[in-house]
Amino acid sequence: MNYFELFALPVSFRIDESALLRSYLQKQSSVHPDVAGAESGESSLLNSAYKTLADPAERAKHFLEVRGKKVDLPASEFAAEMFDLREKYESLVSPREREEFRLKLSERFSDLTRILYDLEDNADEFAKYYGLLRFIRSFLDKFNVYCGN
Amino acid sequence: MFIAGIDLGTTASVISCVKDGVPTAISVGGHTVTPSAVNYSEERPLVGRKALYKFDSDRTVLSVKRFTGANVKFCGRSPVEVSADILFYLKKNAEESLGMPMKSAVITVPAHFSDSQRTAVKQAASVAGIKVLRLINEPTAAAVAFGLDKRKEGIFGVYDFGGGTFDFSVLRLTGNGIFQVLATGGDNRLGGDDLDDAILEYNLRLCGLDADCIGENEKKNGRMTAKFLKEISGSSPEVQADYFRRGKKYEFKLSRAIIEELSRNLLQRTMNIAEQVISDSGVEKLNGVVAIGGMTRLKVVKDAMRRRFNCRIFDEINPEEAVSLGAAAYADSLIKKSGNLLLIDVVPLTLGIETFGGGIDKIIYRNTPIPIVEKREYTTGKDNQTGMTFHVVQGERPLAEECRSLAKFELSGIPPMPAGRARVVVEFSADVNGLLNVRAFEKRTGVEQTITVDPSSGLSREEMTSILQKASEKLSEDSLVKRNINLKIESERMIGFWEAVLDKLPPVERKNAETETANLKEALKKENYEDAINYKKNLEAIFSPFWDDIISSRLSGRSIGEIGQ
Repeated sequence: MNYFELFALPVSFRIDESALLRSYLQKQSSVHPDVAGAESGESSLLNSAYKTLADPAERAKHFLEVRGKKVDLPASEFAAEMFDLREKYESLVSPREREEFRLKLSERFSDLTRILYDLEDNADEFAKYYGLLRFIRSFLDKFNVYCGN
Repeated sequence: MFIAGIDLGTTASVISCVKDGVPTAISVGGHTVTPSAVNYSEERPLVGRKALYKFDSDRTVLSVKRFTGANVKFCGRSPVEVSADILFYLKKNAEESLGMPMKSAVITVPAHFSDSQRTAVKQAASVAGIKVLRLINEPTAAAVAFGLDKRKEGIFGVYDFGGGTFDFSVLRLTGNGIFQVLATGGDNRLGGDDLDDAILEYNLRLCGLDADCIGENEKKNGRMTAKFLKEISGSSPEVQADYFRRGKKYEFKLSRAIIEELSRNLLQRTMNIAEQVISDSGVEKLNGVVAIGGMTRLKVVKDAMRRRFNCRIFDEINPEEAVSLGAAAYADSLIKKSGNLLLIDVVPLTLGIETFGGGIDKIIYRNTPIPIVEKREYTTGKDNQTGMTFHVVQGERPLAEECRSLAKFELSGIPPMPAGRARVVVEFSADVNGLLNVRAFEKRTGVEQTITVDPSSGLSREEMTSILQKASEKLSEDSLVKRNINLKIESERMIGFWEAVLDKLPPVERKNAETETANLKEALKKENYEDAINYKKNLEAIFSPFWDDIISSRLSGRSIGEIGQ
């Protein structure tokens, strides 16, 4: 399933977010079960597709899939950076250190997203950087500690 | 015939419908807001003000919503039955008031209510003879009332601080009737009742009374006095009220400084949740925050909101009726299929499957728009394994045992084949009510098992009540035996796992773990379950600082075939 086509968008990592939202809401308002009746298959497909394209990491993965590129582990040239991050993460003590580290990670995440914008036409390089992006995201998720119940 | 929107609240409930195109709260016994109180001193339950005016705290149930989905009894009744009595009262009186029968209803629930709590609300409605058109989330319903009224467009927060629960949601309003929830979160043990308790404790201390020596009844009366003080606290710098206990009169008082002090911690918790939800939603700026729920009437709460949220606070809508009015508007739109209104809501809490080692494989993440279907593929971990057990859990904690358990089921009849060959697909689908269905099947053979986590039924009130009663009686009888069996199965599974990863521990912990494992095995052999529980807890404590790393190294290949074995 090509989610870009589903929303009539060009197959590109560099997505027009407002066009995506417009297309999603417009389609949802004709197939959502509350409008169209009980059947919810199309509506949940739209939700999966929207969620995938709205998130840079998921979008990068889908972009690679559509391009027929297999996603591997992060390339070895990033091993040093990954090793440093892991070591840094394990040595964090104070909340301030944790917050600083989290900010650094999220800056790096944004950097990588920008790098991916320019690598669209080079699937191999794109896949390499995507691997690192994924790694950074998994660290960021560790900081997302839920405070409700 | 009319279609209702019902807000079944912790302290108060409201029923509304659309009259001449305008959502309107229906007067029930002369008031639009009915206290969620039920008194069981007479043959028929008394609901609302009549229950409160009995001043019979022994046989009056208050704030039953806090126990939705829990296995407890009040005056011999389950929370489902008590909630059903409130719903039945609202329905009957609304029908009398409007002079026509009620066809069906949209009922609201706190946004972060789990699957089992939502199911309990549906059951209560069915016991009360109400056909549920949809369950919708309270902050979403309030946003509908707000957005419809003002034709608003933009990104708004909804700060819903009620008697027993707190919710915060971030929504996108398009101005043409689409309400897209971006993120939501909350706490169902955080509400105005907690402030009442704090005010009561403070005053008991002040009067030289020991809170531990005060009976439940006297406490209930004290709580009512505390609630009264809270409600009038904005009227002057210090308010007083009399509290009678065993014929003696005490004076309770509450000053602005004290209410600020007593509410600080509660308000901080609401703000932490709000910040988390805003960060989850990914938006940078809110166009405004809508204040709803009885607590937002308090000056101390409004002040805190103004300080914390860097945007306009909308508090002009009636915070007690808004949820019900929004539900009525949506009910009307659903029935007419007009397409004037569309709510796109989200899953409030992550849904997943317990993995080998007690972790969670997250399948539907919180804040995923609904409806949604997600699949995962698992395989067998042993040769000729013919069954797999799945434990469905909901929550954000890293360990399955800390989350809410929704269902356990087994896929059996897998034909014998070498480990890793079977391809078992587990499919989670969350519907528009936020209710979950789970399906598991083996791809090669088509062996299938479906679990409807939402048991909908069209039973009569009597049938439903007796079924529920029998079920809860049986549950308490079986629970000890069940606990021991589970303990045994789980311990054996965990021992295997613990022994396999012992080498991941530092020397001291490793030594302790070895000793405790031997103790646990011995205790299980001798069927000494109370000791076994302690040894198991010790082991969990020893391993817990190292869980993250152990689990992530174990799960990296995602072959979690031995789940629950």
